[in-house]
Amino acid sequence: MIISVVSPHARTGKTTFSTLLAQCLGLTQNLSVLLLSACGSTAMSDYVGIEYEEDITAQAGQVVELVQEEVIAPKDIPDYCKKLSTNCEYLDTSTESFAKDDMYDLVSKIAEKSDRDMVVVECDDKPIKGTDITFVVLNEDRESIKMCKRFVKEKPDPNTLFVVQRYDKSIVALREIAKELGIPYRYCGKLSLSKVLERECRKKKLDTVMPYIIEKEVTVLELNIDFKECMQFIMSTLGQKAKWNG
Amino acid sequence: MIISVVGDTDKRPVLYTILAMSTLLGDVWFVTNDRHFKRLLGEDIEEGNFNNILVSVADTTEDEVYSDLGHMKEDFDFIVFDNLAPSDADLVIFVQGEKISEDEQFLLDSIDKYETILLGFGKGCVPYTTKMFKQVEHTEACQCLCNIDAKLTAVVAKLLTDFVKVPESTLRKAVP
Repeated sequence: MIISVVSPHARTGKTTFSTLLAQCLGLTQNLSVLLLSACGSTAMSDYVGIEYEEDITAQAGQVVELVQEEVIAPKDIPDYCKKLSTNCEYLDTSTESFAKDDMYDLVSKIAEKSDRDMVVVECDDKPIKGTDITFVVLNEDRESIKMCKRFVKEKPDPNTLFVVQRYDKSIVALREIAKELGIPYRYCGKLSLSKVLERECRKKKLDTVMPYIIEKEVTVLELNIDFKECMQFIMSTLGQKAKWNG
Repeated sequence: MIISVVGDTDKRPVLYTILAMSTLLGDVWFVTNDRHFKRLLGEDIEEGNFNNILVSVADTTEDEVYSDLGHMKEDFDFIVFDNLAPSDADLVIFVQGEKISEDEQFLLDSIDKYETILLGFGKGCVPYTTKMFKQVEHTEACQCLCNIDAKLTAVVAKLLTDFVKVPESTLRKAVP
């Protein structure tokens, strides 16, 4: 199953959300997860503390070509990945050498060939080919909401969840955002504003936060319920019940 | 989870503490028949949002609350009823003031199991403090949930901990 995380504009928090979502799936649902970025940016690598090196032998293009030529079997893709947490691996696709469309093609091919249960892909403004579930990441501001309206279909898409990143409940109710977007409330999720997330991103240790979220650590307690909802959304699409402690 | 808070005394400190705690743990609907709570909504409306909590101010009964207000139980993680005690409530909290009135006693007799919070009076009560009511005023005036009173937060955390499967200490610390 391929999960795309998209947003119509930059700096909404796609990278943070994708990384945590992938880790959460691996840690709580016992699914093997491959995390990819189709944005080409180094943000994801930065957040998890991977130094960027333009090494074409370890980059997406090379891996895809080798996979296509069947030199690398899909099961060997993890050899090129960094393990972020239990069941979750990250393939560094950050590069300055690829055009956006080429990068989308490459990442789509990796996702398609992967033998992992789930592939979580951070995208720009459109999902990659073969996407099963789309998460549209937005912020609370009106501009962001307005831009995200283009993802709203006439009939609510049960495979699309709108996630309000850096959500601050004292500013606006989630119901109001759903109303403004013109979607049923159940298709609107959130990722609460968290100083811990911001701090860990800066410290390049974003991959260390999820266990605390799952364990309901007091400073990230609200994020626990946020990810519980995301897991319920994904697993219900699979026709399964999400595993969640409490 | 359905939490029902009953009692004739001023229950605002208890209700705001429950709301502050539950809003950290899920989607909350607060139903009350007390017009005073319209202040949380900032305008003279019957239903609106306050800190991402859906607040409904309405005269309704336990049996008709969902049909009257057009919401479903399943849509929420927490429903907090003020002055309503439906039979399917997971937790009924009686907020006791100086003494129990006849009406209160009548209501309590009809409830199988309830927990009592002694507010202001009685041995082991949560005492009234100036800060408590300053915080209540702050909550309403600024429409912002806050920690009303540390002792009250501890009492409510103890009542909720088993239901929400979050340690009592975490709940106590989590309230802003």
